[in-house]
Parts: sequence; structure tokens; C-alpha cells
Amino acid sequence: MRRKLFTYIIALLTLALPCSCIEEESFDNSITGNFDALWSLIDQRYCFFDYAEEQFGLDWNRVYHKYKAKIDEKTSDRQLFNICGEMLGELRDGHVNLASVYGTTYYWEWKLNHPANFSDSLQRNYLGNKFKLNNGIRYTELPDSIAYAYVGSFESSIGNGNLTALLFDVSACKALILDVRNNGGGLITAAETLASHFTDTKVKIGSIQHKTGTAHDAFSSPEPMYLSPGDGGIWKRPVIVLTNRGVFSAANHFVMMMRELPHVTIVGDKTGGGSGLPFNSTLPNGWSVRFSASPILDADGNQTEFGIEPDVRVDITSEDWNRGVDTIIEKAIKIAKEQTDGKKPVS
Amino acid sequence: MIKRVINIIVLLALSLLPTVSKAQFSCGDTINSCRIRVSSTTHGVALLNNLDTYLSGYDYRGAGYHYNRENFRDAMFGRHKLKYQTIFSGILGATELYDSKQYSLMLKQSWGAYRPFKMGERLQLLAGAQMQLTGGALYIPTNGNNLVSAKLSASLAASGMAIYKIPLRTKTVTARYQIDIPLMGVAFSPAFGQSYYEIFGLGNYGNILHLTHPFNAPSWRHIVSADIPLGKRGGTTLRAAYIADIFQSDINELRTHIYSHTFSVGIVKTLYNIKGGDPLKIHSPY
Repeated sequence: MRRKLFTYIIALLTLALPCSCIEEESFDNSITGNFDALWSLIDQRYCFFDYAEEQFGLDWNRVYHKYKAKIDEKTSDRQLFNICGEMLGELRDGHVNLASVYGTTYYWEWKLNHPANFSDSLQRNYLGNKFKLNNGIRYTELPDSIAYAYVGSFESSIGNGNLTALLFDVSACKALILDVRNNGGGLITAAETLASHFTDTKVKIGSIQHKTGTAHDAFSSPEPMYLSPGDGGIWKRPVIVLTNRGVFSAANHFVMMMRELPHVTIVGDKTGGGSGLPFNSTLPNGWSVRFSASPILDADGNQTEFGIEPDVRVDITSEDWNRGVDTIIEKAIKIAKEQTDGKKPVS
Repeated sequence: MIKRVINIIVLLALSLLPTVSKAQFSCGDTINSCRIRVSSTTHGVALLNNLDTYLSGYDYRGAGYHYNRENFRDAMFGRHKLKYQTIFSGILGATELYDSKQYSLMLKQSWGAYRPFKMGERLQLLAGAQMQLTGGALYIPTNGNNLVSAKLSASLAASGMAIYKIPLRTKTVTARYQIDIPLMGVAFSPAFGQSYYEIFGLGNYGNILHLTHPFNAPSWRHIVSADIPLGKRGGTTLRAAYIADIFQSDINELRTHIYSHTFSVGIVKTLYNIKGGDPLKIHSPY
């Protein structure tokens, strides 16, 4: 009996031999340690290196040497924060931020280097004072039986019941202008819920990949993404989606989905992009880093990280701006009329 | 040699039959011992060190509340006298890395079967196997699409125990050391950069279940406890315990460790199934 027991004990100890501590490659909590940790984190987990190199010649190793030369152990925490923010700006990605007690670094050029193409003062001339509000969506009926709805954010989830009620409210209209200008994104599921009320069939709208390892080109094969009909009311009449450079992230995803639907026309300026699903991580000093981790491709397998071109390109002109006219809404009304020409409002 | 290997495999397989009805067996040398169940509940403070590279590349340290409930009883399996043990434990923790906060909840249920080896009057060694189910999550509220890292695994573990009775004046303190080492199992893990949105929102479930073994998930649990009778008649038994629960994995280049070191106290109850037996002939399975 004792021999059996000793056999068991020896077996147990043998099995315990490979047991060891699992640790991650660590950087110390120093100025250079935190800088190296940030560079290395992005190097291993950021998902648009190849695309950025193709688009504007990004060389992440060159970036390291450029910014590493700016720091030493005498650099203050605040200086380090600013230098790291500048380094992340080299990625030209609005989804990449560094957050600490000194604030949050942003790359804004995707939006601020372009015409605003949106003014809430101009919008007021169309929404008026008697617009309705449902689940954060402001909507009203314009002349000629054209509905106008403004979706300024996807930060909160959108209910199928709310959307059904909204579509019922405007069900007498011949066309719907869906304005997502300056919508900076939020929940991708909210964007999908909204889009799902504009199709009655399952439609392939794109594909998603994820990184499978730390190498820049380590990606899974694209998995198709579909848009299925939403629960409740479905709008099948013409839809004009209004866009500008402020359309980013989940809102960019919304435009990517809507343009696959046959009764949808995209009007306005190119979107801001931001097609990577962002992840977060931390540095040894606790600073939080956000970065694009998982690319979403359009239905043709193309990146939309730097924006989606509209079907009809329109800018708000200075003359219209001064007259209180939103050129993009006016163009949308004109397109809606053309598409519904001869059709009577539904009673 | 083959016989020895078979013996070990049989012991491991026995853990798959943790809830065999008592009624099926007669209990060899003492019928009454099969009706005894030693049940303990302890509450403790756990010191935590969590790393999960899906959420962050650095250790979060802090403390948590540890709940542990254990049942221990005798049983017969064929001609073999066995001891069955079930343990449920849960740790609710709060850890931090400077200003960054992380919260965790880890639950573990184990079913173990042991063959006892008497080594004299006071020492008893037990060798056996456990089935372990582990589930839980780590949560960093400031993260976006990766704010939670869920843990779910099932594994077969080798387990061993040493129980020593220490006479102390008129009472006997029961000291115990236990080690559990998971040998093989399955665990849930997303791919390196895969979001839960892709898995659960889009239904891309491929490649999320992985075989685990001591080389990619070297984990173990140590339990050191002392059961101390209190009062003149020793009617109440206090348990003081140290539990080191080391959960680790390295799957899809995602590294995790959840180290907990718990110091806990609680009460041990010896319960007797009166139906069909004599409650006065209590014989502790320890």
C-alpha cells in the first residue's frame, strides 16, 4: 500500500514540475519604462500598421527613435504625457488616446482639417420648435411629406420599440432624411439596431478581423458581418443619409451598413472614418491607452478607417450659410423629391 | 508498473463519480461513518495579484473577500473505502494599478474522491482526484470594448491531502494540508485581439475553447487548515485556514494570473444523517 502511495506522490510532484509563474514582459515605472511600454503596446496590438504604411508611409520603428530622443530620466511626467500624445498622433487615428490626470490626448485632424458642414443653428431652421424626441433622435416632418431625423450620437442603446414608434410617426412621409452629421459614434450595437429598421432581408454589410498575435500582419481571416431585419417597423421608402467629417467610429459603421441598402443614398461630405474596434490597456504608471484593435472592412473588403465617400458630395456653401440655409439638407430634399416624383404621400 | 499507472488512472476517474448515492454502498468497517458529513464554512480576507493581458499588461494588486464552503465524508466504492470532498469558493476582489481600478469575481467548485492511507494513529494521507469548475470575470470599468475578461474552465485535477491529529490536553486539533493540481481540461479564451462583440454579438464562436494542461495553464491550490475544538466539551470547532489559489493560463498569447492568498476563519459542523443509524456512534471521516 505504501509503495502505491509513494508512486502517487512522485507522480504528483512530477506533474508539479512544469508549474511556473506566468508573467508578462514588464517595463518599469520610470520615464523611459513607460515610454517603451506605450510604444511596445501599440507595436504589438494596434491593427492598422500595414494600412497606415500604405496610405501615408508610417514607419513605427522610426517613430520610436524620433520620440525616444526627446526624453530622458529628467523629463517630467507631464512632458512625457505630451510627448507620448504626439507620438500617438503619428498614427493619425482618432481612436488612439492616452488618458491620465493631465487629460486625454486626441488626434483631431480627421475632423478639424476639413469643413464643418454642419451647424445646429442652420439645423434649427429645419427642425423648428415642434420637433419630436425619441431615444435621443430628434425628428419632424418637412414640407412635401419628407421626414427629417437627426441622430447625433450612438452613446446610448436604441430600442426597437422606440424606432418602431418613430417610424410610425412619419409613416405618412414619402422619404426620410436621416442626418448623422457630427455623430462621433458610441455603441456599435446601437448603430446596428438603427440600421436594422431599414432592411427586410439579411444583407452582407462587411467583415471583421482580429489580431491573432503580436506581429503587425497577424490577422484572422475576415468573418462576414450581416445586417438582419430589426424587430418592429421597417422603412422601405427612400432614405437619404447625411454625412460630414464628424461622422466617426460607430456612426461610420452605420454609414457603411446603410450604403449597402438599395433605397439609401449617402449625401454630404466624406465621413471621418474610425473603422477599428478600439481596445484599452494600461501603462506601468496606470495611464490608460486606447487603440484600434480589430479592423472592420466594408462589403467589398476595403478599409474605411479614413472615411467613406458619399454617393453625392455636397458642402455647405458660404452663401447658404449666411442665408441660414443648410446646403446638404436642401440637396437631400431635392434628391428625395426626385426619388419620390409622382408618388403621393401615404395616408 | 502498468498496474501502478492503472491505479492512478482509476483514482483520477473516481473523481468523475462525485455524487454517487450513499444508498448504493455498504460502508465496510463502520456503517455510521458513511452518514457523517463534516461541513465547514469559512470567511476570509484574500490578498490578490491579478494579471490579464486581455485587459492590461500589468499586475493589479489589492484585497478581496473569500468565501469557502467544504463538505467531507466517507463512502464506499466497490471494496474500496473512499472519502469524498466538495469545495465551493468565491473571491470578490478590488485591485488597482495606481489610478486604474479593477474588480474581480472568481468562483470555483470542486468534487474530489480520495483513497485514504493510514500512516499510524495520527497521520492519514489521502490521494485522489478532483473535477474542478472555475468561472468568473475581471473587470476594468475604464476599458471600452475589452472591459471584461471572462474566465470559464473545467479540469481534472490530481489532489493529495495529509491529515494529522494533534492531541492538546483533553482535545484533539486536526491539522490538514491539501494540494490540488489541474492536469487537463478545457478553458474559454478569445483570440489575441478578438472582441466579445465578435464572439457573442456576431456569433464567431470558432477557436474559443482550448485544451489546458500544466504547460499552458499551470495552476494549483494549497489549503492549510487547523480545526480547533472550543469550549469545555468541544462542541464547537473553529477552523483557521490559509488558502493559496493560483490560477494561471497562457492561451493565444493572452497571459493571465490570478493569485490569491487567503487567511480565513469559520465554523466546522459535523452533521449526521439520523435515518437508519445510531447518532451516538459518530466517527469523523477526518
